[in-house]
Amino acid sequence: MKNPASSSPSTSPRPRLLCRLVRRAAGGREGAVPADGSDWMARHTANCPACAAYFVRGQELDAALRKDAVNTPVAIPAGLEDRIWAAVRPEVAARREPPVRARPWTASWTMPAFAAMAVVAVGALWLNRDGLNPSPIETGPIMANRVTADFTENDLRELAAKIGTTAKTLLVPPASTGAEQAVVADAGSLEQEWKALGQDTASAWKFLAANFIPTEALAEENT
Amino acid sequence: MMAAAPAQPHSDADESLTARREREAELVQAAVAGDAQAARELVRLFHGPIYTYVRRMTGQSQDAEDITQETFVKAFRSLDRVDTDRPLINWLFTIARRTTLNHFRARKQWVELPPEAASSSPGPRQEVEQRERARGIWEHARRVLSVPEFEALWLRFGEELSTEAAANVSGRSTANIKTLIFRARQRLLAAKETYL
Repeated sequence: MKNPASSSPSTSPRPRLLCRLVRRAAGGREGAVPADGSDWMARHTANCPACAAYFVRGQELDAALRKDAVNTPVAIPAGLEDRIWAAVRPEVAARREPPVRARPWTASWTMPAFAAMAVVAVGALWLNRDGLNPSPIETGPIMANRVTADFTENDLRELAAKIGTTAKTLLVPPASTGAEQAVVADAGSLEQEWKALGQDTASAWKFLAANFIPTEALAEENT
Repeated sequence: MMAAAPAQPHSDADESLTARREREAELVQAAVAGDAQAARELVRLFHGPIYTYVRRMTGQSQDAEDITQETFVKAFRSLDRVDTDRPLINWLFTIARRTTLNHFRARKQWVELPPEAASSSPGPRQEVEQRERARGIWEHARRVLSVPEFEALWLRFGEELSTEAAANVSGRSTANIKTLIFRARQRLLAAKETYL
């Protein structure tokens, strides 16, 4: 039985290999009809009515696609623009607002510094008391008097000086980077404040030593 | 309801492409600086094409509205990162495409039949063809083509993007876009008598 494609390939339902090659290659050019005499594709198309008809149909299809996209537009819902704008406006307004200033580096360590100073002070008192306590049997006012008797005013002054030194250590700012550069200029004034705070603490200790530690009563008891 | 040209945000024929790009860049820069008027103008210019694109892709009006709104919100959040040397519409198409994919991530099929088509019982062939013809070639294409094929075909012939621009928008290679368009045209040509 004779293959109909071999006798009339151009009119067979399934295009022969050469026709498919031409059409596939033309697909790389988005279905453009091969130009007259340009290459083997053009020569084939000129001699193959099926391929010629194929490219004509392709041109009609492309024209229909473009025409239909314009002639049958999608209806835009009324109010869609306003709805979109209502959703977008906060984003635009947020761009107008100035950026939030970064918190100064002092804000992050000021409170911990205060807490550290308090811990150092309490800890120093506690250690001195334990070291001077000779016997766990002694309790009550006697123990308190023995502690305060050995914890002289000079000791208190030394302790106040230590607290001041600790405060100076805490005053060393961390390495500033980026946005913190803007607040580094304020570090000088802050250091002065810390010095004043240390002095106030020392004065407070002197006040406590002068008014609340019963050294005279202890002396009388010892005698 | 108002109709919008799907491909061209500007209708002035005498406005050159370069001038339009410069105008877009000015609007983008002003909007980035917080200019509400410029931002509103961008919404006015591009909401039609973006809605048309999403509506063509999904076939769903309500979903298309939501996706279009979400697309613009995302776009304005990252407006300072847009490349003003390239057409803004292509960038918006890209965002719209990703937003649409995310929107329909849970569903098996991106494209869904309109309610009237899904609910109607199949009638005689003539009636089906008549409905296809009335809806237009793009509605027919949306039904017979795969999502990538339809998307490539729409970007190329509906939005009139170049092959390279369509590739950028869809995140595919230029060769892949050409292949998708070739296959889409083959399928439509095979059923040409239905809609032409």
